[in-house]
Amino acid sequence: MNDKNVTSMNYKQRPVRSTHVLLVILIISIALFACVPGGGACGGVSKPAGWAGGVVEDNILYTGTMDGEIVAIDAVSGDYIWHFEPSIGEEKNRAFYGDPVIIDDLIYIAGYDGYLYVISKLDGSLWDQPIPIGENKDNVVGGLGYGEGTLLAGSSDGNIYAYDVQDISNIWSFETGSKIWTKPLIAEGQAFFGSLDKTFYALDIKDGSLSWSFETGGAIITPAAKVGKTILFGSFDGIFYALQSESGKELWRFTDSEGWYWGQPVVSETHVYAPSLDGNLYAIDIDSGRLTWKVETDGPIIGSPLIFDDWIIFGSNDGRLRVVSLKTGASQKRCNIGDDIRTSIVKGGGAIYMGISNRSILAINIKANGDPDEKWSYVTKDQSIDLDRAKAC
Amino acid sequence: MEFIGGIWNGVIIRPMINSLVLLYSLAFSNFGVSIILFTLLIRAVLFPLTVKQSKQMKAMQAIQPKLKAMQEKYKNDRQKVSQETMRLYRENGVNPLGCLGPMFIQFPIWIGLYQAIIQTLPSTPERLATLSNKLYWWLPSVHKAVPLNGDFFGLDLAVPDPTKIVLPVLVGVSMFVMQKMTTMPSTSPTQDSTNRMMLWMMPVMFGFFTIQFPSGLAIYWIVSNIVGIIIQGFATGWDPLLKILNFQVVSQPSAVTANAIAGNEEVENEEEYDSDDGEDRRRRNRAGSKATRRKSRRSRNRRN
Repeated sequence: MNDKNVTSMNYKQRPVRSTHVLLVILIISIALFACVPGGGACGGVSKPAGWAGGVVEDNILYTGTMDGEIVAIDAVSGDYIWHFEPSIGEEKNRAFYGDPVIIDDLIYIAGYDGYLYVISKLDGSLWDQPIPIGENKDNVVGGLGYGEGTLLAGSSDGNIYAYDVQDISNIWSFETGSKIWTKPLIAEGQAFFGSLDKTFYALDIKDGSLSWSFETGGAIITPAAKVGKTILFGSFDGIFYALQSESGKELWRFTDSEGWYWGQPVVSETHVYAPSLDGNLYAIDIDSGRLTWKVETDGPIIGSPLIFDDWIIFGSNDGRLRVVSLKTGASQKRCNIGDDIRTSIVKGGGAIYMGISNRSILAINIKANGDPDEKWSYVTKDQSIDLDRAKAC
Repeated sequence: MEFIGGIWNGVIIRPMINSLVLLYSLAFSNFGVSIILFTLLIRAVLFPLTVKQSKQMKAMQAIQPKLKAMQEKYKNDRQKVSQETMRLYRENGVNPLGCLGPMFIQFPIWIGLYQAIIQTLPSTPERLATLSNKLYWWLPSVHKAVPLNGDFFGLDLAVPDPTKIVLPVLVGVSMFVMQKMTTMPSTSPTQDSTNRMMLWMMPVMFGFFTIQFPSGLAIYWIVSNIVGIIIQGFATGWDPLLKILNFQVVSQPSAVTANAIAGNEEVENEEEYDSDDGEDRRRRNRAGSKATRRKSRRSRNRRN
């Protein structure tokens, strides 16, 4: 009887301490394991997916996919033609962020795995062995710049590497203070690019010597745009800069953004259209640096917009594609895609093309009145995507 | 669910990310130092709670002999035991769950810090792009600090320890010592075995976590444990630590043994138990403790 009572008494006391402590451990275990990298519940360490834009040539769309491949798709029908899957770099780094560059029959693209791939436009076969970018093959995010017979690749090792397009031999390299995640711009004998060291550089394209540099208050990832003698780019300090291309002298700065600039701005004759991670697309007068209009979205704008006749088209991470008047920013036509649109938008054959974060590639016709109309969607490897879904627009 | 996520991000994640980045910009652009400063900050905020926990432990230790005696006295009356236990707790200002407070509070901090670290030190461009909207725009210095350098003594704080040994062992050892310092005295053999299980389970579990989680989180755990050990040491004494280090310590016996012995002594005085006033009880308690220590040593000698 006594033993029984003692047991009961002990049992009575245990729930107060040990059971609660064990409960805490259990909760910690569940919660922390839910956060285990790859688990997704807490947004664990993720694999790079990439957001390469595309190029349309002869009614064929060449683009990178979120599966780390390059695909050629019939731009009219959306039919698969060929794909190229890198097999040399580390698998965890298999992704493409930069747009492909097409020169004659060859496609040049820099991988996040630190390799420069040259593949045949005809069948997707490797033209030559992949070329390591830099000694350590650090990540390449910004994509290749091309001009005046030179390919430029910025690397996460802080160097920008110049290659002769004829034989892909390394001509020169230039070291900055941090990673280079931007796509370099080549124009008038100079290479323009920013670095995560917060500095914007202008180099002589022939030998890589420094022409001038300009320091900003934040990291620079935005690829620059050029109009006449003006260089335009944004920075992580939330400022959009206009510099004189020959001297690097500041012409004006636009300070309305409350987020970083990431995507490449596009220019018309009078305006520069700058996408910002604060979710706004800003139309800024090139001469004065003043805001003409802005369009607000509910998500960051990472990709570059596209000027299409009298419209400017851009995607946002709020899952919507917007078509707005180039002059006023009004007459918004929307396409509710439902997933992030991170890639730049490209056009070809009267349609526009973009990659969606659900691993599909979408083609949309733009009617004369600006109305978007889904043409086809191409699903990469993920077969779970419903091909028979209703049209996004 | 979206609402909860919004609150979680707004109340826990964003302040943490901004604090870490701000400390980074103030601490020589070193993210490791930023995490250490952040840990000290968290520990400073939790200090009153930690002190309260230590006091609870002390109070709990102090009433153990009485608790045991009372249990013996009313061993045939479960309800009475329960009532008297609660009365003892109340009279001595003991909250049996009081020791769990800092642990509960640290729980969202761990998860939040894990998320904050992987978002502040993004491993992919996708993650870096999402960081923009997590930083306060009214705090310009945090935007200027990005991207952060996650290197700390050759360790990339954004990814798990590549050796899979050094940090897990450091976390495990510091957690073990911390557990040893903060383990509540047990009142029964069953609870004693539970305490022993906890003593080993927690370090092993967190050591295992460290293999999988960013090194930055491991730095937080190690520093947090060290600070916790120091606070506990000053509050309740260094005996457990010295025991681990194998020093000859005049220390309290294992709780169960002590209770068993103390219980016998207290039983002798059980008739006086109910009529005690607080001061007399405390005085006798101290005397009882001394007697317990003496007996304990004797019993150890006997065993030897």
